[in-house]
Amino acid sequence: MGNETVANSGAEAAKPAAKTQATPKLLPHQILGTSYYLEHPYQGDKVKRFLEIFAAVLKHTNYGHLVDTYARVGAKCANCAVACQIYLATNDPKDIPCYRTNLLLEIYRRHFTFRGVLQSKVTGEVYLTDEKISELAESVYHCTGCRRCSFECPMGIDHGLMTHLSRYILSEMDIAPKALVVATREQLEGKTGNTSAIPVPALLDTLEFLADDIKDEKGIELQFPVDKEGREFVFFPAVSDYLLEAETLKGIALTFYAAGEEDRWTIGTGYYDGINYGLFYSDWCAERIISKEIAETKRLKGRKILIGECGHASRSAKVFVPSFGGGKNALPVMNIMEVTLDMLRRGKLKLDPNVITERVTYHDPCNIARSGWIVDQPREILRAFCKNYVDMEPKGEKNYCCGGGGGTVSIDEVRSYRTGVTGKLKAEQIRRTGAKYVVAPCANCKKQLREVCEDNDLKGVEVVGLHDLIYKALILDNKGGKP
Amino acid sequence: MNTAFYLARGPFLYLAFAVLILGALRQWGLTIAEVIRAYRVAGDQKIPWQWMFKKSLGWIVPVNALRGARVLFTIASAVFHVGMLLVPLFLAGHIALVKKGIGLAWPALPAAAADGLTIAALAGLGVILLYRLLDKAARFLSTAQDYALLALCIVAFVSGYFVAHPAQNPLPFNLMYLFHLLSAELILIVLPFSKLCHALLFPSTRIVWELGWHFVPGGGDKVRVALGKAGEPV
Repeated sequence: MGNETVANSGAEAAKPAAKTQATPKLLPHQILGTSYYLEHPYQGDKVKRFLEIFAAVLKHTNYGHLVDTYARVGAKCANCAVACQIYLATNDPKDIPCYRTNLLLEIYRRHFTFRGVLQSKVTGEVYLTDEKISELAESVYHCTGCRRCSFECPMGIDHGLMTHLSRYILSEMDIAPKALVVATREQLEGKTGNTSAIPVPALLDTLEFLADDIKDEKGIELQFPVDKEGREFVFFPAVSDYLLEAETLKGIALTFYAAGEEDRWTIGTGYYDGINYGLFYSDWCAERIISKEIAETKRLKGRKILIGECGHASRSAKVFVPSFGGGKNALPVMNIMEVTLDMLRRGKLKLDPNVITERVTYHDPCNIARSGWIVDQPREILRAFCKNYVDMEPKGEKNYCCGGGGGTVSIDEVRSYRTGVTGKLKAEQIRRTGAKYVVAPCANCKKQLREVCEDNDLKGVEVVGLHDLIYKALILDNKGGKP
Repeated sequence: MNTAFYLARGPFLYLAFAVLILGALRQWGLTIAEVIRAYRVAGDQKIPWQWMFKKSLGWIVPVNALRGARVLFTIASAVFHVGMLLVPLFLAGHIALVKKGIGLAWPALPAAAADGLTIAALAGLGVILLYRLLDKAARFLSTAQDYALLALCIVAFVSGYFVAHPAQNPLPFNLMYLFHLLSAELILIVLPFSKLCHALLFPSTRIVWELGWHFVPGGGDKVRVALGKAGEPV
């Protein structure tokens, strides 16, 4: 079954002219389509290629001993199952995190350990097959990489990291969702240099348009800072925000303005995309993307990398900038919410508590919350002006994923799976809060949660960014703005 | 029977300890070497020691998991592990054997405490076994090894209890003693090579995990070069 879906979509996409949309295949649950399009997957001996790639990865990266340890210590206690919102939704044992991880670990045991190799020599059996590769390829894109299960593993097995590693190996034989690959190609090798293919003139137009909007709505004349040298922050939002999240960007600009600290940040026209799909499927791409952020920040003589409202962009920068950008000497990375909270605490921002009177709740994006990095900051900001704030349960480090993590939100052909399965628990959580505004400071989560609300009949719920609400509530009277 | 008994108390016992000790040294040696290697090639060498320590401790004393969805399993597992560590190491009978063999001795558990821990550990094992049999997820994941190791632990504890309480022993004493020796020796022998290896590697799993996220600069390029894909586009 796994074989069929991935292989079929691969075969279709392999034909150069095959741009037609095939009907997504159904899993046994009969409700979801989980096939994703491939471009041109490896056509030779897949088993041989997979093992070559695995061997090269084990040799040149830090995964080797990690995989070896995990392959030895996994006790199969099934604790992870109760933490996984996908398993909770499907009740299909193949969605248990430990099972998924074991698909890869068993390949390691049978092909890369003394005992496994000996066993193969004695029995003459080759463990890995095309079917097993296909099962892995489908399974690792069921997972949203939210890493909630890693808390439940007494042995500290990070199933999210194993999903990442499996995807990385597969991507080197060109088994990776077309949606992610095409965007990353444009970002790294395309003319526009970003995942949404926004050229610089269009970016500048957008910024002007946003500034006009602010003028109309708030009576404030401000300009988005572009290519200013020597600023503290060089700003990288998820580039799709320039197309889809105007309110968030306006909120950020107005926040800097209201605090009188406009000269702290700039947007660079050399590179302006925070998105890093490398985190989801390729170490090779991750490093190249991060290098672009670092290079642009250095070009503009900026001192810090500032990431917008985006979970994976924040985490990939936070983790990879030190990894690929010089360790201790690497540029510091901050998320916009940390900066805004700092301004609020210093008394630079005045927020009107009478603007947002409807109930507000906060969705923790996994990539910034799971490690405990950004959990309390947005809540402190929200509580400062939202009278009717309620938390979801569970929350913070133990939140449920929006259901579109790990890049799956960008794969439009799996929408029914994302909103019907992975986002199911989230939909119920949102329903229970009775909130009108779901604040989700992440480009991925916003798109996903809007689709979740749409497909799960959650009417009247508005999914917004944190700065969307700040934009509404900022008091600008001393700046000459509209009250 | 007597030969088997002689072998189990003599050569096999030494063999079992030799396998365990050599296996453990190999695992620990490899782990230390690999951790140092991974640390040196990592681009980011900042390690959150405190966080890791807290996380490991959180599972040694799993109070957090008591709020989770598998409370009974967590308690049973913790109780079993406490018994599994304390009883073999601190039983007066075991210490007396070691003293006779190599002259080392250390304080022993009171007999009543050892009995209590044994029964508690057995109860824990029972609950763990029930989870494996009845919980859908656990049953799906379980392999023959998982059941065999559980059975081995149960045999070791039950036989040990009867060796310590000969009056209640339903079998000939020497036969029960033989079961105890052989099951315990088997545990020691398979420990470094089976999933029981987690007893040796538990202290290092967090640092190994942490270093897994500390990527190697240029690693991706090297992989592409090794695969003959250098210079190819995305």
